[in-house]
Amino acid sequence: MRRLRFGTALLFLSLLLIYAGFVLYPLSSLLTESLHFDREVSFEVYRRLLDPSNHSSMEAAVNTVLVSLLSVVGSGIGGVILAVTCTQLTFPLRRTLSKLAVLPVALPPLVGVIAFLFVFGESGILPRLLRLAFGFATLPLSLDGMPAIVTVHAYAFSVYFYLFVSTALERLDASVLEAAESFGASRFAIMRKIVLPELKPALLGASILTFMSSMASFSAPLLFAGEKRFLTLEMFNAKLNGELDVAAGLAVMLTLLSVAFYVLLHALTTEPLGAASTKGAARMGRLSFSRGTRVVLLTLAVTIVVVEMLPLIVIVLISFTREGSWTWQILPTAYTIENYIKLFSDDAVFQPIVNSLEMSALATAASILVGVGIAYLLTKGSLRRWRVVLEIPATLPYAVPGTVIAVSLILAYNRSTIFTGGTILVGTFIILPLAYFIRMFPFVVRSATASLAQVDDALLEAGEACGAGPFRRFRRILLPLIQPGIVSGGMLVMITALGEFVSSILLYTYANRPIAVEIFAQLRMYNFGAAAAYSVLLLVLILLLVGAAQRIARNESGVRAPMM
Amino acid sequence: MPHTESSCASVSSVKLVDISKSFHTTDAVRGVNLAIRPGEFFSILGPSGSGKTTLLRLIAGFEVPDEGSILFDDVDVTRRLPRERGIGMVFQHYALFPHMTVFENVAFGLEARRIAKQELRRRVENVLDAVHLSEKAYMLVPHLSGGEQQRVALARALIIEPAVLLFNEPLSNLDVALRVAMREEIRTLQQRFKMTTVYVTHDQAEAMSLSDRIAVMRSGRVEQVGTPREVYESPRTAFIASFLGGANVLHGTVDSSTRELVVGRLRIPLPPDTLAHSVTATIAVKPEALALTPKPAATDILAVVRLREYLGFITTFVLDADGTELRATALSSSQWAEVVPGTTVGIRLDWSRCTFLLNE
Repeated sequence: MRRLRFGTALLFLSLLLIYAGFVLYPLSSLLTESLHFDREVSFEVYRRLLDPSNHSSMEAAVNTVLVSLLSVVGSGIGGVILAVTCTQLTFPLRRTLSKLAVLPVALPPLVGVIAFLFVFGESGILPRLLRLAFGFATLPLSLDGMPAIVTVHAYAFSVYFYLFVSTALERLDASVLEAAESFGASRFAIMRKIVLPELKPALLGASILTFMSSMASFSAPLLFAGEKRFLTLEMFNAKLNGELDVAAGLAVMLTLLSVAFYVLLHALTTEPLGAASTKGAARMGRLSFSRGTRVVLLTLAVTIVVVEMLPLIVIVLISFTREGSWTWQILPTAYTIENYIKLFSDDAVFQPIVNSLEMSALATAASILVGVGIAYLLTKGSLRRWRVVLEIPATLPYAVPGTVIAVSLILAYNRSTIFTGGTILVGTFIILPLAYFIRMFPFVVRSATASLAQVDDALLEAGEACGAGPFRRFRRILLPLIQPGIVSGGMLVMITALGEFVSSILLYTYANRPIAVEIFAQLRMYNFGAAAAYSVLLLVLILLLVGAAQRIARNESGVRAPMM
Repeated sequence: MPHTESSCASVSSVKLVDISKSFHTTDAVRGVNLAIRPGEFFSILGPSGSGKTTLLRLIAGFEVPDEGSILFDDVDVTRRLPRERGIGMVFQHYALFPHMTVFENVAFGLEARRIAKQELRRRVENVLDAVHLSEKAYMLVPHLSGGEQQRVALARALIIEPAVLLFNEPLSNLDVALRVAMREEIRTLQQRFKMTTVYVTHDQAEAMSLSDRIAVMRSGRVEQVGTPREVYESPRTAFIASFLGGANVLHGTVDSSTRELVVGRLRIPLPPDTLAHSVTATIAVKPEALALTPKPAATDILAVVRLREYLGFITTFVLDADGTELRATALSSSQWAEVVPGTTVGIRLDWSRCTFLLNE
């Protein structure tokens, strides 16, 4: 055990101050507001929300949880099929398929929902096509309500299962599978006794992520809910109606539900056991499947990827459509590039792009500073023995839905506070990047913690034995080694913030309106072409960022130029 | 590393006084006293879990003792940070900075000391030359072989001209041939620069071949300190006898009428004038102290061969002497060819290679 050092203590205190000011204080404002009625402390808000004669909030809570559970199941099935197919089978274009399978991760939720609407929605391309082909009287297959929301979620979140499970499958040790086989275990027994336990952490991790994302989901209910009630939507409506206390009460309910499930699922998760059993790099194990299973898996996987690609293709198509020209036809008839020209020539139309880039960059910078600081405390500082205790609050903001963050920020910063240097933040430019930062810095905490945990403590001790102080050790040893982790975490913040809609729609002003809000506005004015053009631009921006980040992460060579 | 070979001015003595350290409930180091002389090559030898690594980390300053004090040249450094102690350290898994070149790794300590560029470059080149790595200066360390990485680690520690150079099992990652070669290289460099060196290992051959003196540790305590010859030939405890020499430790009663040591059913005739007044005795018998003959004489102790291992120039035997297991070593020769398991052989004890141990 080391002494508590001055530097660590200072870092801890400053991070605690930031956390208190921008996480705890807004959330407590939420609680305070929900416990006030007519300027008096009371449970009136909750009494009304939970009143059995008033079904709305209970219905919303039940619907929200139900949709989230179904989304986990749907995403799980899709993601696991893709992961197994792409890692365990050999077929032509396997790499292409696995690359396409991760594309939805780059898709901002709002864009995904809109794209879905165009393809599968009430008057989407596919229902129209089917009606024409088979002569149905009513529109077949058109999705709305609960099934639509679950489908959209499965579409957007199956990528979590795909990524987690394929990583776990790639870690399967060939010698362990061979050992099981040599003892006469059947395929089924190998699956159940060896593969499934190895995949359990990945499955649980992806389930947590999917469940939390579904609970917080706002875009899908907003566009597909119809008559159904959902917590995020109720909260949004309450805020629009000026009932901040009700919005706060709903926010508290949603947060408690989310956090409860988060903690529950987290408790079930254990670290993967694998690696310890063999030394060095293990050979990757391949599962064997019967011919029939292989054909079924491949067919399903290809279908899933095609269904995933359709909305993207359609949105590109629509971005080239002349506004107002596409009415009853199956596919648009008149094409133009004027949507894109408008995007770059009209300042008022271009401004949201500048806004989003600026605000996302700010949020990313803040997230990296704070996230790396927290990750350092959790893994390397003299406080690290408290890691288990500190890790939960450090990643908690991620479990708080974006709508909740937005409402809590409105309540906390519609007056001057000491944390904001006595200014009122609501209505200013900074409130949006602040909301992004609060919700997304845990991405950096996660990725930086993972990278830091891989850095052998002996390296830091070696640095110290060479005479380097804490600052030099951090800058010269830790920072270069965890750079890939910082880049990937920071990139996740950047791309999520670029397409952020949920908090933005509640907090934006005309001056700082971001891309997603503008897409929504265009959609409401039935400017589908402009909305699609924005979406495509957003997607291109995000893909460029992903490409750049991968390039930075891979930058390593055998020989370097002399230092001086 | 000194650029001129006499410049190693700051060679320290190291003194540990009543050092104790525990982690949670386990005592890693218990009441250790050591005095390491300036310029000495001092090894700490012990099995895993004996506390040797903790002791080294205490000297380095990575751990702070619960009790006791650490003196470098009679100056108390117990509370000083590692970088304030003037140590150099070679870590078990090298702990090289993987994102840096060989040059940058070695230069790291000088940069931290803000040495001017020209001088820094000259000194790094000198050290790299000394460890035969000048050719590879601009390679990233993960591209080097195990032995080369080991030499980078050595160079990085040497270049800061440490008052005390610390090694934590530096050769345990290398294969046998390389280990012997590196052992010689370390010894050569240490004798050339004469810095005080503390070397932790669990390998007795390493400790004996390198050291001026060895401290043997067990369960957090130092059981014996002495030259390699002293600890090997006069082990103070049964543990040291078996750990260092692989000795047979025989514990029995003295039959004063027949002048024999009785170990179970085995009776060993004692030399005259030994154990005259003892009732019980423990002796450490090194494998090479048991002289075997394929054709036993009447006075020999008889034993049945259980196992024979041909190891090139020596052959080892596991024997059963009236229910007592004995290990013996003999120079390989054709006479052992037909001594297969089950054969009876005769044993004679070379008492000059046996040690009478105090009962523990």
